[in-house]
Amino acid sequence: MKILVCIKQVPDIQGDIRIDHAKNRILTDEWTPFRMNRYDEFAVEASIGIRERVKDAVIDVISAGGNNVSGVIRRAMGMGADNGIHLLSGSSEEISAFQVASWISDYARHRQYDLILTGMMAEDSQQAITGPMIAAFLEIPCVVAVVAENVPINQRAVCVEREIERGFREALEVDFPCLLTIQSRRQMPRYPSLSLMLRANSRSIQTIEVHASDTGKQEHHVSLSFPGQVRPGDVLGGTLDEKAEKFATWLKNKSII
Amino acid sequence: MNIHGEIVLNKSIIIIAETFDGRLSPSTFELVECAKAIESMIAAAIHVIITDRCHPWVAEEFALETGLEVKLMEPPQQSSDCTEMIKQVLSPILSELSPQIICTSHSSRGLEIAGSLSVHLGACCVAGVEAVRMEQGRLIFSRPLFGARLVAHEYLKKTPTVVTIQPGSFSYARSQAVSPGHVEYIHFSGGPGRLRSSGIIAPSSDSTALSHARVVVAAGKGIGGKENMGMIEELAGCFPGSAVAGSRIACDLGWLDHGKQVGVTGATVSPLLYIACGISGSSQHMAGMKGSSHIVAINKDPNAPICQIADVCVIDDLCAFIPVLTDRLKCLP
Ligand SMILES: Cc1cc2nc3c(=O)[nH]c(=O)nc-3n(C[C@H](O)[C@H](O)[C@H](O)COP(=O)(O)OP(=O)(O)OC[C@H]3O[C@@H](n4cnc5c(N)ncnc54)[C@H](O)[C@@H]3O)c2cc1C
Ligand SMILES: Nc1ncnc2c1ncn2[C@@H]1O[C@H](COP(=O)(O)O)[C@@H](O)[C@H]1O
Repeated sequence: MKILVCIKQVPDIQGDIRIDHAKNRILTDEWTPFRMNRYDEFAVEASIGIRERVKDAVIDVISAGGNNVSGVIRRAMGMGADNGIHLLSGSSEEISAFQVASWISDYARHRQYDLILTGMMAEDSQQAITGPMIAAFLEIPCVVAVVAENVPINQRAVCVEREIERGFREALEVDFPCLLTIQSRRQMPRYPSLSLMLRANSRSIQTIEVHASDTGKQEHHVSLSFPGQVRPGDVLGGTLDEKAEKFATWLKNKSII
Repeated sequence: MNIHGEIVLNKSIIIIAETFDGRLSPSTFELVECAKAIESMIAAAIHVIITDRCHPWVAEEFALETGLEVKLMEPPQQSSDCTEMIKQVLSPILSELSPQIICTSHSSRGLEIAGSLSVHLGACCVAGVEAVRMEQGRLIFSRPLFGARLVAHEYLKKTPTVVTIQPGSFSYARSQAVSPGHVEYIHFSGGPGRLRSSGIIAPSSDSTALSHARVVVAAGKGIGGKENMGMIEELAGCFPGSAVAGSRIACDLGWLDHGKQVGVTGATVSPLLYIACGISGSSQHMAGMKGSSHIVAINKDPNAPICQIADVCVIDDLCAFIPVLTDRLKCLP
C-alpha cells in the first residue's frame, strides 16, 4: 500500500503579524520561526497509524514551497514517514491552492498512491480546499474532515468517520485510490524520535523544481487588513486586584450578578 | 427563452444547498442570505441546486418560502461521489445557467463540491468567506486568515467564481416571498459509486446543558494544562446557572469532554455572559459564541481576535488573574 501525505510549512508568528506596504502579503524575516501546519501533523500521524496495522505500507510526504520547507519534510520523516519529496518553487510568494493542487496531482498521477492525505486546513491561508482540488485533478473520491480511519484487511477501501455538523459524524466507505482531509482529533500527533530524526537527516529528499502556470496564477487580487473592533473591547487597567474589582463592578452594572 | 417560454437571464448565482438527514441545514438559509446580498449588487437570478438527500416536500416548502427556483436531484443520494455527480448533473445545469458565482457552504460536503467544481470549471475559488461587499464597482469577498488575526479581501476577477461561505456569517431573515419558486426534479443515476455512506452517528455526549447555561466559562489552549481546569470550574462556580466549556483544542487535548466544545463543529451558545479564558478567537470558535449577550476575554495577548468581539478584556496571565477574580467574586454578598 502506498500513502502520500501533503504537508505545508507555516510561519509561527506569536506576537504581532506585520503586513507589507502594498497590503498584500505577510512580512516574515530570517528570524520568523516556521513549523509544520498542525493539521498536517495529524495527517502524518494518521498515516503512521495505518502503517502500523497494514503490513508493507509506504509513506511518502510531499511539500511544495521555497528552499526552507525541507525542515518540515525532515520532521515528518522523523515522525516516521519513509520518503520525502520537495516540490521546489522559485518564488517566495504565497502560492494559490489551485496551483499547489495541480503540482501535487501532477506528481501523484502516475505513482499509484492508494491513499492521499492532507490536513483539514492550513493554519495560515485557512482555505481547506487544496485537498478537494487535488482529488478533483486526479478524479478520485474525496472525504473532508476525517476524524477516524481504518483500513480493513483486504485493503481495497478505507472506512472513515467524518465530521458533518454540530458534532454529528458520517460513516463512509471509500474505494482506493482516494483522498482524505484529516481533522484534528484526540489522538495527538507524536513527536519526532531522535533515531528517526538522525536517519532522516542522513537521507536525501527528492527535489523537483516546479513553476507557476498561468491557470495557477489566475487567483484574485488580494488585500489584507486587520480585523475591526465589533464590540467595545474595554481593556481593564490596573493591578490584578484593581482589575478584579472593576470586573465585579461591571458585572453588577450589567445585572449579571 | 427556455422551453417554458420564460426569459433566461444570462446572469445567475447558484447555491449548492447543504442538507442534513433529508432536511435543509441552517447553513443553506445562510447561503440564501449571502446570495441575496450578492444579487442586490450584481443583479443576477438565484438558483438553488440540492444535490444531497432531501425530502421533496422540504424542497417545495423552501421554494415557496424563499421564492427561489430549486432543482432537486432524484433519486436521493447521500454524499455521492462528486466527480460523477458534477459530470452528470451539475455540468449541464451550469452551462445552461452560466453563473457568475457559485456558493457552497464551507463545510465538509460543501468543500468537496467546491474543490471539485473549481477544478472542473477552471474557476477561481474563494474559501471560507464571511462577508461580501461592493466597492468601486467590484465585488469583494472577505475571509479570515491566520486564525482570524488577519482578514483577506479578495476581488472578484473572473467568472464563474466558486465561493464557500463560513457557517454563522450570514443571518437568515425569515420572510414569505411574494411569488413562490418552483422545484424542478433532475435525474441522476449515480449508483453506489466509489464512496458509500453507511449512516450518521449522533454525538456521544450531549450539549444541552451548555446551551441552557446563563453564564459560560470557556477554557482554551491558553490555560496551559488539565491541572488548571479546577481554576476554571471554580470561577464558573461563582455564577449561578453556569457551565464550563472549551475550544476544540482544549477538548482534543482531553482537558474537557467533546460535548463541551463550542464552535462550528460543537455547540452554539448564546448565554448572558461568555468568559473566554485563553481562547484566541478563531472564526470556527466565534461562530459558536458570538451571539452571547456579553463577552469577556481573559488573554495575555491584546491582539487576540477574541478581543475584537469582547465587551471587556483583561490582558493578563490568566493563571495569575483568575484566582484573584474568583476570590473577589466569592466575597460578594
Ligand atoms: C473545520 C474546522 C472546524 C473547527 N471547529 C472548531 C470549533 O467548533 N470550536 C473551536 O474552538 N475550534 C474549532 N476549530 C479549531 C480552530 O481553528 C482553532 O484552532 C481553535 O479554536 C483554537 O483554540 P484556542 O483558542 O484554544 O487555542 P489557540 O488559538 O492556540 O489560542 C490560545 C490563546 O491563549 C492565549 N494564552 C496563552 N497563554 C495564556 C496565559 N497564560 N494567560 C492568558 N492567555 C493565554 C494566547 O494568547 C492565545 O490567544 C476548527 C477548525 C477547523 C479547521
Ligand atoms: N504548499 C503545500 N505543500 C504541500 N501540501 C500543502 C501545501 N499547501 C496546502 N497543502 C495541503 O493542503 C491542506 C489544506 O490547505 P489549505 O487548502 O491551504 O487550507 C494542508 O493541510 C496541506 O495538507
